[in-house]
Amino acid sequence: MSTDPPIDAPLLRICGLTKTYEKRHTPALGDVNLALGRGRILGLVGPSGSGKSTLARCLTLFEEPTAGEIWFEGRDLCRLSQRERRLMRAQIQIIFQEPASTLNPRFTAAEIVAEPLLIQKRGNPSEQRESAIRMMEMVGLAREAAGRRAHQFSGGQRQRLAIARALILDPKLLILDESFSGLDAALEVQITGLLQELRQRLGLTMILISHDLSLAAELADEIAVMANGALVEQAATAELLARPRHPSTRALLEATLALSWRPS
Amino acid sequence: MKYVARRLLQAALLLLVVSMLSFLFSTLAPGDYYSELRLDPRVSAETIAGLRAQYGLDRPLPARYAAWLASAARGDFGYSLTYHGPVGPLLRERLRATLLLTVTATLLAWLLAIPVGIWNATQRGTWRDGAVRLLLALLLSVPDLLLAIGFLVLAVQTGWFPPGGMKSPGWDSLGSMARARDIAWHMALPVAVLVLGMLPVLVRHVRASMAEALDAPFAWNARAQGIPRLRLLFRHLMPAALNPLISLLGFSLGTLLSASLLIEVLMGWPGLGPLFLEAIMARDFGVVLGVVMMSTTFLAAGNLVADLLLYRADPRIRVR
Repeated sequence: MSTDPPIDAPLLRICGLTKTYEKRHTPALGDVNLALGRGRILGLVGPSGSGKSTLARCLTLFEEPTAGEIWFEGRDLCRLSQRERRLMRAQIQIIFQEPASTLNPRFTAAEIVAEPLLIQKRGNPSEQRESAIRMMEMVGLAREAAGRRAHQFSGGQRQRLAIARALILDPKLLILDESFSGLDAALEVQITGLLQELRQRLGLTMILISHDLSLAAELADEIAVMANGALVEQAATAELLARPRHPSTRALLEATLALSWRPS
Repeated sequence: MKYVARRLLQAALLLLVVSMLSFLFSTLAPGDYYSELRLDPRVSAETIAGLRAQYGLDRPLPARYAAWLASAARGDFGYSLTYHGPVGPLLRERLRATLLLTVTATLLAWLLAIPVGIWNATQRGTWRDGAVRLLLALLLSVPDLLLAIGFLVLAVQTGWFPPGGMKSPGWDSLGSMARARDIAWHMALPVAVLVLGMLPVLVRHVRASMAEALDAPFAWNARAQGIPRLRLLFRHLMPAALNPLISLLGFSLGTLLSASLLIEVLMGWPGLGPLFLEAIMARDFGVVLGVVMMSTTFLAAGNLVADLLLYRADPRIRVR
């Protein structure tokens, strides 16, 4: 009997997720509830220290939640065995802040992109390399660049390399944790364009974590706002921008508008 | 190849400059090998002048330096007035004893420091890390000299180890295995002192390099992929931690001759240490210069090896 969840069930459902660190009195995450449908992009916004990255670390199995459940594809991530965790990591990929620094400077581009395949023991070395090169081409990097090392690429190309590595395992969920903060405007346009294209081609579900509401609004179908470790508001992007209900959302929106009105 | 040739040329230049400076300083130092003879009323000034002329000490500095260079090119490295012979063969014999000690100690120290340093880095913030660091700090604060004296006292009181020297009496009549065992037994204490002296610095460096590698974003990313521990260690962390350690290895190699000088003197090891000390006391500048040049050669070679290893290990240096 198949244990696959029904196709219309959300890909990700978080119930009462709480994370408290030993030496801190207030929880980093307090009773977070969230649902995300397949193929959707969720913008997770909030000021620094609001718990966005802690949530990402719980989702990528870097942190053990203190309480709560994370249902992904019908399975609770908090109750997986070590082996199941390794397999599950293939399904949920994360691109960290400053993705260029997450590329090992000693590896060639093909080795960087192929490493997740090697870790997941998929295919033999030549198949892994060929898949890596195909994925590089998909994100707009030339086949000839496969033997180059990270420092021989431009900033934008390194971002693409990090995206290629995150997508090589054909994940169901891609988390972008402040991945584009610090990019110049032209690069940001390039990368967001690439992500939109990849979403259409691959049907990716994404969580876009950012402190920048305007960037999240550009890509996301819906936006969740976090403040002080709690998820204070979640709504469709247009709805949230038009009628922000929570004071934190309004503050973020006002800050974004103030920035956009500033003479350049 | 161009890089290697350039580095070799630099090393040769360094040796030349050091030899010039050493030569210059040795003449600036007051007195020479025959100074003490002057105090002896039985030896006439003419005799001393004759001796100085015989060994070329009365010639101008450039001429003496040129003669020394020619002698170095032959492998003699000047003349020892104490031993009445060329310095080269004298140094080579002592060099073997010193290297036996220092190579063994350096190898052991690195073999211990790498796993301890790596383990320490993975235990950051725990009491285990604190305990090891405290122990190393204590060890670092104890001078090698004191450690050596402590070990000698132990050797004398327990009789477990010989209190000095390299061979037991009657060593020549032993079989080859027994000879090796006897030397190993004599080596134990000086090697232990040297290892304990090197260990704190090495472990600290390995720990720091590994801690930095553990915090590197690419290591985090690899962990997010669920990378197995051993692959993380050997493919990501160790290569990333390697650069500062290679430089330190170069330094270790460079100090192979000088690291044990004091311990050799104290523990009666017939290496370069006692020879160097005697030569300084007797103002036998030929031997002093020979030891200085040999140490400099090792230092230059250590640096060269480190640079070549870095060139090999880090693709970014190759591209530059």
